[in-house]
Amino acid sequence: MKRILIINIARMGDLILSSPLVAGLKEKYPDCEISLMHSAHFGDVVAAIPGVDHIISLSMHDVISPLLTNGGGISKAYKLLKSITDDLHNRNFDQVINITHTHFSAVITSLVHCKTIVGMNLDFEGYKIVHGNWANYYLNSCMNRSFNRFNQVDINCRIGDVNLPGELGLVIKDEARIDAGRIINKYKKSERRLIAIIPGASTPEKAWQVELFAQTMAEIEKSNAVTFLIFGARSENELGQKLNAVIPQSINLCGKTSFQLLTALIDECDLMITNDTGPMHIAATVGTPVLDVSLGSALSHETAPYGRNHVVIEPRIECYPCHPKQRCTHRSCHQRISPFMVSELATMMLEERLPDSLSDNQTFKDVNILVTSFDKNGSWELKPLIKRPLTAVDIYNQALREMWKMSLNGQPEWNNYYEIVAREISSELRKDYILPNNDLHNLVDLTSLRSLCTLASRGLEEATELASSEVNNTDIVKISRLGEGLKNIDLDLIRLAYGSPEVKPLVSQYIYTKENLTGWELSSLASQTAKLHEKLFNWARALIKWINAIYEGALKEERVREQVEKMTKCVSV
Amino acid sequence: MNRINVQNPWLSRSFPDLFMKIRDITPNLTLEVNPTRSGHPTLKADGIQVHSSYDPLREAESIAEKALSGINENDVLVICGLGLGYLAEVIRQRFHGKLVVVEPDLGMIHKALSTRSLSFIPQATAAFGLSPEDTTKVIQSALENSNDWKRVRLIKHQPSIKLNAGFYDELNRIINGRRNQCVEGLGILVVTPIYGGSLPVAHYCASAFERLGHRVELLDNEIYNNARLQIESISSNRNHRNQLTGLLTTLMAESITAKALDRAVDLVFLTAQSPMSPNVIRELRGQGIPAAFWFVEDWQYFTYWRDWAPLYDYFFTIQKDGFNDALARIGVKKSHYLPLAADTQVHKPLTLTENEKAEFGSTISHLGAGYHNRQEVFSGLTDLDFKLWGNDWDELKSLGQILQREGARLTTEESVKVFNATDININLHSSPFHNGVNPEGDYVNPRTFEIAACEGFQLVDERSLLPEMFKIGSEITTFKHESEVRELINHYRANPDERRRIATAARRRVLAEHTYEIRMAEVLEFIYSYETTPASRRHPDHIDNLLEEAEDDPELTGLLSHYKGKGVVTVEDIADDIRKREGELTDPEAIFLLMYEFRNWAKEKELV
Repeated sequence: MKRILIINIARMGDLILSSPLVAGLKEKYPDCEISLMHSAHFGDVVAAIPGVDHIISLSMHDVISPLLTNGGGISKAYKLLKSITDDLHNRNFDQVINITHTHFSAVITSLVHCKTIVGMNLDFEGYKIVHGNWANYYLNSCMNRSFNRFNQVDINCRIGDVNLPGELGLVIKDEARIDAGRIINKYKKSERRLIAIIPGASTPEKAWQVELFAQTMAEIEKSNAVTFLIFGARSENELGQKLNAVIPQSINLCGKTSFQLLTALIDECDLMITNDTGPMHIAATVGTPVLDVSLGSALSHETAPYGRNHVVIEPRIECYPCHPKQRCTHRSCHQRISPFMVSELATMMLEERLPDSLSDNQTFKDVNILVTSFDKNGSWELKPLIKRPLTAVDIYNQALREMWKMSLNGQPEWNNYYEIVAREISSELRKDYILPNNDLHNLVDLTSLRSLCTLASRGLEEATELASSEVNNTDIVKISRLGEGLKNIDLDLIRLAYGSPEVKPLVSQYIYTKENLTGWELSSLASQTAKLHEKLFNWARALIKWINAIYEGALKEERVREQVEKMTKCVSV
Repeated sequence: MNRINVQNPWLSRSFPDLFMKIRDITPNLTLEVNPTRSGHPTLKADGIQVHSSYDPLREAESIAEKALSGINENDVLVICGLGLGYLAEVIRQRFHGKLVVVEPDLGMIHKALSTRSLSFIPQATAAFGLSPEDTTKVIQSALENSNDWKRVRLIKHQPSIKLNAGFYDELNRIINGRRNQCVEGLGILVVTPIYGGSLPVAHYCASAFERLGHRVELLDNEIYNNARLQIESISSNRNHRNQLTGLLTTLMAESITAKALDRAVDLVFLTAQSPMSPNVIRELRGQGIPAAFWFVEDWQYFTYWRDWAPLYDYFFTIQKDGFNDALARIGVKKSHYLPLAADTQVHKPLTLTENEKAEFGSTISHLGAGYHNRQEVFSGLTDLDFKLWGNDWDELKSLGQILQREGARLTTEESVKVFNATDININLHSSPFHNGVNPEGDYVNPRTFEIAACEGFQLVDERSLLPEMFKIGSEITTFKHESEVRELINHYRANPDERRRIATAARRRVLAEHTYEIRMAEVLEFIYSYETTPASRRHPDHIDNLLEEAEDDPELTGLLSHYKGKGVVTVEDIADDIRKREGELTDPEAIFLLMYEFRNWAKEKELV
């Protein structure tokens, strides 16, 4: 029996997003025993995740409280942590999957003393080390968020090497369903639809202004027979009261629901209108359609509801998404999304008449509206509901996503079939964007990618020379020259990345992976470095080839195909 | 008064000096020897019964029994008070380690020698008729050059102590100071002024404390210099400026409390002009943290000491005599003379490049501000190969021709180069009131020590406190009057070997006696002769307390034992060391890294 420890010390939403990983592991290793380490605050959430055999709660407050007094707690905190880590060690895990990318979780992972580890860990000297391509990608995506096109669920599953698409799961207890039924019977009139409203969020930047929520609810009420259930934590009760004051028919349940009851109630709802929150992921899990108002630092591509046909509305504004630690004073992104837009979308969703595409009219000019979906490989994706002219960023991000999928999954010969890939990408782009009529050349500037290729190939050459037996270990001068050369190449790569953000995800992936190289033997280190340069070269070259193929051939073909289809339609009409 | 006459061949042979002193002494005390029933004579001094009037020997045995419990042979026992020698005799019979018998009163010694046969004395060390300082030296030699004053155990003969209370109080204080010198790893907050001459001194003190093995926290107020200058230009209204300056001073002073408490320091140390407020001193005292101030200024010229010296717990001066009296008059008891010194890590001999020699070198130089007396004296030397360095010189006068860099201030590194590159450094102590040498000058300026530490040769004006620090003639050359300077220059210009010999001797003396480490050790010795336990020792995270708590965990004890003597230890300190250390990470170390991460998390959540 394989004993697996998943470390996920995070908030409610992240825990729910790890449920497909648990399910995937159970599918892959049917007799495995899964332990999940989590922050004690969210014990109810973990208890509801199917497939978790052992729950290991880590109470941050228990550990920290001795250290909060004016001294005197060091020994106490040490002993408490020692007992926790000793217990982890004694459970003899066969594998640790650490999907919490903090230094803190790396230290815990190292103290489990397990041989098979994926995710962040410490090496024997205490330096941070990340095991696994996708775990490194996760770190990369945190640093280069605007280029990330993978949902957290898919990243988790790929870190744990389980199949996609993943399946979110939460077990609702019968008692919770009964309680939920009682509440609904009490408040809901028979013919009314139920809409869950989540006005709070983890940061004020992410929380759409409560007045705008209230106006939205009023708009929806005008044309729909609905009852609103307002959910939130106890600290968000004030928001619930404000909404309740404007919409007397609404039911303020802020601070009044356990996790189980909340899940059961959301399960009963016909729609949820929410900021990027934990309850949003509950809705996605129980299959309640979600209208996600994505603001502040919430990056829809990363954390929008997992599943099909959920809708995301996000502002079209330069500063969105902001940095998670950004404290914003203007919150202009909130004003880009109007109550009318949200109520329109909500009504469409309630009436199940969401079209395949929306016209790019005045109403939605300040927002992107995206629908959740899965691609042919089972990877979750966001599709634009409003077709807009194709931009260089769209082409680049689509190509980048394909490149990571193939390369990091270790697909053999992945970079050889560039024409096929280019066609596939172009085909997808045609579905989602308006193809330009003019010449497609110069749509994407490939200069920085070419510079990256040059640097990577120089690195490959020098590292290979260093690794070769021709360099005698005593030839200090040559070793120093080559070592210095490789150091300078890394510096040039970093400089290039800061000047050209589009290559930064590639350089970051290279740097993070390089940080994990271990060993003392020069030729082995040099040969590992050479392989990394080769990878970097392949990434950049693949992107150049694909993008070239896209605008030199594939996209033109698509444009022709599109025109043919239009004409065919006209003829048939 | 009895005139005593003693003929004691053993005493005259073993202690010729003492013998000469007591041979014809007139005792201070009225000493009366009486017989007892036990047959052992007893003594009454000034009406105080020094020994039992029934059985002095039995009484001594009883005292000795109590006093010797918990003593081991490695200790140095100091018997405070001879009386007729009963206690010392009994202890000598029972204790075979180092024994020092102290008796300051010559009359008492005389009486004891003439009454009883003190046969044990050759087997003990006698500190008879000495001052408290000299008595300490005797104890030090009994320690055989060890500095472990915690081994020194005092056995107090109470009637003797009563008779010489002043002597024993002082002896006790000095011994306490020495013992507390063994207090390792004090946390010391050094507060600097915003600007001025005592700013580098504060930094030198901080470095010295650090080199003595203490944990130093620096509150460097130089960062507020721009704010100070800004205030000067904000308003032409003096009241407004004063108000703003007051606010700035309050900010800096309150920062002292904040940092002292946050870093759990044992002592706050300030040099002249450093910002402080009476409230802060009170708050610190309330927390058991003494505040010490080193007044490195001329007390007659800068008089703010009158307001501040009574507030500080400890006050150090670079002048004595008149100043000590003046301080005593305003009720300052814990003041101590502490001359300036040199930081020999900064001021040291250098090998200069040819370019540096050309730039900074000359036959004669002076480095310092253009005080009136210097302007007067140096005006007569401009015909020589003379370079004048420093600010506040009148460029338009004749000195303009020898003034370097248009009177810009030199950095410390450049000053060191000047001292090294100059054949003859002229060091004239500043005075705004004299035309040349200040005949009343007492304190010795920092430059004296700094030039000497650089092994530079200097001609310095006579200062009354200088001969205590350097042997005039062989270690330093002085001039009494400005009129002697030219002749001395001529002499030493012609005698480079003599210059070199004196400079080498001066540096040797600095290294032996005038470094900031020595001064700061003296500061701590003085302070901890009064203070009992350093504040941080009471802190729960003091390493001794942590080790006590970790007794049942050998791994934790092993990790923490590296911090023995480091005072208060924080999770951050330990994590920091672990990260810097090379080699395999152990589990206890990883747990500390984890704890550090928890602390960070708590900080992010604003819980700490």
